[in-house]
Amino acid sequence: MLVVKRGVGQRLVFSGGIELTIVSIGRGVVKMAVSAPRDVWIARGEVHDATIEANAAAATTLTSVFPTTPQPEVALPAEGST
Amino acid sequence: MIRMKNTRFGTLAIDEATVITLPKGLIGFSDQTRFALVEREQGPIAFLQSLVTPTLAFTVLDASHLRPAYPALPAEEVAELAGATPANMAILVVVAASPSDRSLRANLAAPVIIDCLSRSGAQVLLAGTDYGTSVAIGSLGPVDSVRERTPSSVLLRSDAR
Repeated sequence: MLVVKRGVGQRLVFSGGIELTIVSIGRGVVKMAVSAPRDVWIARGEVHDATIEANAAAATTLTSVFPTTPQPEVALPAEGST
Repeated sequence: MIRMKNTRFGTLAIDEATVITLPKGLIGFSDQTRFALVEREQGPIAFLQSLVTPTLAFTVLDASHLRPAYPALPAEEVAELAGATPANMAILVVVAASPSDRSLRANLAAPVIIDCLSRSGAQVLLAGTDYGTSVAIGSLGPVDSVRERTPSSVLLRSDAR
């Protein structure tokens, strides 16, 4: 882990074309600007962590909530293949 | 034909052509990279069945069922996050039943974007929106329960390649 002091207007540069700039520093809050390529998503850590939880919840949502017709073998339809 | 035993649906026979690849997996599930979309006979809820771990399936909803239209971002911007093209893009949202009241909640902050032609995609986090990670679907208006030819239906068709 890199721990580094940065002032307003100073940047951190990451591989992959990602840049983080310190915009302003207030009382206990730092405002940052992040730029990244269009195929890189950026998110608050809380949202990322909540998404892990939501995915886990979806994985354990019981089939009984959304019943499927029980079948010994389900062949997914694929047109053109018989 | 891929045979998956011990899924929550029993044994699944899956045409290789219908496999969906998420090279980076789902967020928090980076090892889950291959899926089949298993649709139910009724209702818009489907399952992203992992082809890596048979016992793992994620409940999802085709975003085209959501009203108002989701996501409220330019299609091109959303598609680019996952390396998809806007015209061939299918959007799934991960949904879960609330353990307390079984109400349906969707993570609108992190849709799964899939390119129907390459059948590959990614779960992405949408920045610059106020979408929550556990939104009661009812608050978005009625979920359209009519099965039409939605993008996720197209995903199951081998002729969509």
